[in-house]
Amino acid sequence: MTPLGGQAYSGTSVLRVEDARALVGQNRYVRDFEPLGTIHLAFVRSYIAHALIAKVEVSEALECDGVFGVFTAAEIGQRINNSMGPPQPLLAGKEVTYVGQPVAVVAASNRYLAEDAAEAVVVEYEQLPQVVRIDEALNGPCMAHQDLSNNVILSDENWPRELDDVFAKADLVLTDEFRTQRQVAMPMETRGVLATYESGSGNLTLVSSTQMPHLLRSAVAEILSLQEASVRVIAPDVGGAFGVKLAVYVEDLVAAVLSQRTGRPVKWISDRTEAFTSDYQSRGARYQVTAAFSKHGEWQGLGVEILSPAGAYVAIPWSGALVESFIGSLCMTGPYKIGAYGYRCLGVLTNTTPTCSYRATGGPAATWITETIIDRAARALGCDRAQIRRQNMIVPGDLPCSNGFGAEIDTDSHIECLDMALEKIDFGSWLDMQATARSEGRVIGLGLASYVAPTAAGVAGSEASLAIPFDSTTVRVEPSGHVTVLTGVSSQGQGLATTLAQIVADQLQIGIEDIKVHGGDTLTSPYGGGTHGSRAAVLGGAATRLAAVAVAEKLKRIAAHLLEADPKDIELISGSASVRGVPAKSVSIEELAMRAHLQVQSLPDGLEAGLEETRRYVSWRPFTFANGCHAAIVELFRTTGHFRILRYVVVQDGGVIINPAIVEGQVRGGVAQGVGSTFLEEFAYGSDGTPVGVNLAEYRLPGVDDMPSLVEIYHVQTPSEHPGGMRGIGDAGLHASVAPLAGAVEDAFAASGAQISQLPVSPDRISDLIEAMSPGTES
Amino acid sequence: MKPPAFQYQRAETADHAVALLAEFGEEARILAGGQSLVPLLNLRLANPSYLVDISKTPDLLAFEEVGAGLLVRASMRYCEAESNPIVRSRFPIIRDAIGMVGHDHIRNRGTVVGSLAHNDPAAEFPAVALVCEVTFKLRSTRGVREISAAEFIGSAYTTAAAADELVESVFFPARPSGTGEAIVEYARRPGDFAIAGIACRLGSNGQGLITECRLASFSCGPSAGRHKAAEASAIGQIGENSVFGEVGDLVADELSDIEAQPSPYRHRLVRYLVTESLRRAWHDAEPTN
Amino acid sequence: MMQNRRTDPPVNEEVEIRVTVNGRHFRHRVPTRLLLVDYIREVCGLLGTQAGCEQGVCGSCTVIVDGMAVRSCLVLAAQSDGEDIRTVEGLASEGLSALQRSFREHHALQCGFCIPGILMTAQTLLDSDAEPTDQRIRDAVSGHTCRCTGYEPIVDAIRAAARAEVEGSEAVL
Repeated sequence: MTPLGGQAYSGTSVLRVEDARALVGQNRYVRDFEPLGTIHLAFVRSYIAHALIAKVEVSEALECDGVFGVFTAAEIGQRINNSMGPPQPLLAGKEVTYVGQPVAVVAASNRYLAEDAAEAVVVEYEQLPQVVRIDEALNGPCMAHQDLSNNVILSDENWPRELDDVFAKADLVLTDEFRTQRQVAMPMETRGVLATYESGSGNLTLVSSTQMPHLLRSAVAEILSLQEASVRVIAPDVGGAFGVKLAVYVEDLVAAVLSQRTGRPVKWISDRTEAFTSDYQSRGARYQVTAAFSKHGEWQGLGVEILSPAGAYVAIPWSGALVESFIGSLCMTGPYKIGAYGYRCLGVLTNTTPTCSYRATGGPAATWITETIIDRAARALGCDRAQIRRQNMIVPGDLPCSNGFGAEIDTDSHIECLDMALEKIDFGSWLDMQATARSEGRVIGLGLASYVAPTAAGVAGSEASLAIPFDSTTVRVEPSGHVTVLTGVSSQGQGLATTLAQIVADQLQIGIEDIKVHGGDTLTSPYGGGTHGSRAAVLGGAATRLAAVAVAEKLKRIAAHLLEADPKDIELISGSASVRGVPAKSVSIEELAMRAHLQVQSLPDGLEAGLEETRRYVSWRPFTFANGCHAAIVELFRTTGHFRILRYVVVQDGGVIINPAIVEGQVRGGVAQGVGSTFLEEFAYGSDGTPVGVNLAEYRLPGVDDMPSLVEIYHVQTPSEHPGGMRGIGDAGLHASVAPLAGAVEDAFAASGAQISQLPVSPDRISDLIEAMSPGTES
Repeated sequence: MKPPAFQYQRAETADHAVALLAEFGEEARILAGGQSLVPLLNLRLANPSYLVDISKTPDLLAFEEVGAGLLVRASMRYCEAESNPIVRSRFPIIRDAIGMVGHDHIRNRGTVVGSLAHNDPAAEFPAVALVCEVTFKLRSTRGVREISAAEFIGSAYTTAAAADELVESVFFPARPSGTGEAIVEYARRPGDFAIAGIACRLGSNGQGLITECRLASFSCGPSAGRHKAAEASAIGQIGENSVFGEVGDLVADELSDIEAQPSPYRHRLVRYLVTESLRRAWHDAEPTN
Repeated sequence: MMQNRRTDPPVNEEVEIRVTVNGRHFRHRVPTRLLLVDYIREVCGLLGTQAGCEQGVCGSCTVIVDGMAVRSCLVLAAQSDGEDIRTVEGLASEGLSALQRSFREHHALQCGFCIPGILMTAQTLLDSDAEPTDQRIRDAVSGHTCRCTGYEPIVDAIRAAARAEVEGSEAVL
């Protein structure tokens, strides 16, 4: 049991403990579990955006081979209630309100047969007018739900009176309407659930691809009127999530209900086609922005009006309309001290798939808007782009500092990160480089993005937190001296088992190979808030550290007793506890563990048997901020409208880094999603609410050819106040990557004044802009 | 999604395949590479009662030289053609077109004839067939007939093959001397469906004049199609960029006219692709120029 | 999906296939419509191969058939009679192969869902080209969708694995 050659694990790119089994095909996702007797579900989904259900005819479906049952709202009548919007039926009974909404479900002996029967279900609809665009939903007259008189489910405002004065008097006022496109998170593993209900005990077990097992447990228990302690949720290996696996979905509940009805394990795995309309979607918002600057470049005012879609139902726990607006307005001011800031947020129901969070929720749009505005101000005022940023930035010495929203920014490395990014991207030579390219007929642009990203949501005043503000870890030394760690957080690819093992290894001074980390099972995992919003390493890591420290202390107390020394003089080194300065007086952790379990009489008086500590770490800070600066150089091609990223630089302050390779992997994945968000992805609805192109050939996820050959990543490490000093980084890659890419495109067209205010930036738009800037030349 | 149920039979010979087609007609589909059909089955957009698997039928495999031309049989896979030295040296347009089809994985199973029989509007081979004067041999229990590419290719996903006809083989005649061929497309990523594409053949008189022009667009409309007016305009002209550009304008104009929403972008893109393909074909015909 | 629905669907039929999977010979009767990916998973019990899209786009289902990388979601098990199939479980007889080790060393995976498919494609690339250019590696990876890694570490891992094999065999000479 030796640690890493004497060197601390933290800060080292230890190879992941998760990989050896993943690489030989031993990961087990929900779809890989199938107890004997499992029945399979296939849903019958609405193909019409808004209609009354006149009739559901299941008689032919019931005659199909291998069918266990066909169920409609008549048999499954439960609904998900929420305070913000209309109740969401598990199966639509009276009215369908989006394409993809489940209307009936077939249970059969395998998915092939279930789909045969699903095809045989006949649904008759009476079409109702549909409202698809958010502008139409806001202005009426069409209602997304027949019985509602208003599509607005969210309205929030903080608009200081002086803001309009500032706009009236400023030297420079910029206004624009920015629009983001609807997107789907589309992790590679689609959603799935395996529900097993046991009537004799009242126990329900859900194997689910969820990001938050404990919260899902609570929701399921409440909606199905079960005791929380009777529900067990297990998240096995999960193949990516990015926010889409946070919500409480009707399919999971239907599976649970059917297991109750049938007494059989019930399994549903989404296929990719249905994932497009049944996974909750994201973005698709409109931002009306007004900004005011003095002629010297001082940022005097910013006002943002955000209109966001909720889709047909308000998702639990968080509607996309809610979190995109809230987080967006929270971090919209970026790292800048803006004179006056106001926001108005509205969220509306539409006849589209419900929305939820997607990685860095609210952040990509906010960063894009802020950085575009400041670049436009620089251009209009003739200021240097870097200098106008510096002059408005929070500087060391400003802390503590509240931003325009009122959130306390706890990091001050903004200028440091900006300057480093400028140096790495060779900003000093940029204008020459661009001019040279222009003379060669090439179109290139450079984008910058300084950002602050809220992470690790903690206690937020006296209101109920949007997220669980703490997390829990149990560290247990087994009788053999090996260590089991049980965590409230679990991974969907983030390598938490490795990161958290590194923390424990450093505290206990043992080898990482002697530590096993488990999470994601509500039966054995202490209460946790799930993995999302860049919270897991910060809160879970802090709890892990505290628990490990407590175990270390206990080891030292036992050792001190055995070695007849003072606990303060005991240190843990290389798998043993020794008297400092007297290496001969030492006892191995194996021996201490054995005694703690099997020779409890040898423990000091009053010390409890065993070697297990559970700690919960609460963040009293509503948000812990990560920050940094991204810079990108993009080349654009005239005839094809193609884009190529020539360089991409990330300077990131994520606080103390435990495993650089894992952190950088998260950043690279986020940057790829930024490429997709800026250039490639768009979930389009036709005017009748029918989605267009629901397949991976038309909804273009980024591929290797879309990425630069190298994303350069540099770290600044300003410790947070939390034990371990970490800041969340899971979302940061996407949070800041739309801005520099869209900004590079706008910069490429600076000479013509073209503005990029709508995403995605499509090939025909790029080509048209180049043509407008310099018509007629071949390229 | 999962495929719907069907009966399945492996065809021992081409005659066996057509006998099965005769029995089941509209209800049967031929399965060769499966790279076009199985995706449709997996979406339940195709729902045949009967699949006739010819992927290993011995007399439908591979290809052979016939005179100076190339006979490609129904089950010959893209990968086999791509690596074949005869294809590479004498029919480079076939090799180039295959390189544009999907990824290795698709090329390792999919077939040239399958692509032609499927007639996806974005497919490369229907355009190649039009340009290269490919003839199609259709076999049924009623007999064998040979038709031209123009007769074979219908609108999107439709061809002249009757429900009981097997596309047994296609024949690429030898390229006439003094001609050059090219195929170009723009896809956002390698392997994606093309946004637009052009295949062409140019003939030269050996002294810089265009004697022949065959040009087909793909992924520009409901199916691949020739542009005869544009072709005619090239005949007798000097093989040079300005002429190629004019042909490009004519093709782009023609395609714009049939679009519901003409876009300047597509016009410029098509013009460029035509110009580029003609330039390459000309270089192929007259390498010294 | 109501197109062409027949009123008398045919009876679910089965066909016999003999296949070799990771060196082991099997004889099975399978439903005619069973996809190869589902045969591998449900009949052979090899769960590493995943059906990610059932359209041949994402690459998660990639296996090696008769030495060539194919999409097992676009092949019927019925067509595999007589074929030699290799899945991720067959890449190493024990532990990790050099290619798999390289993926681990380069942190080339996160959630792992897409990885078995990418490994099979990488294996066929290295089997056919001991010193692939970066472009050839990228071409191979371009047939796969990964939502987690941004691809760069995957390209690095394959490049390093190729180099290590070349250097290893050079060392032997």
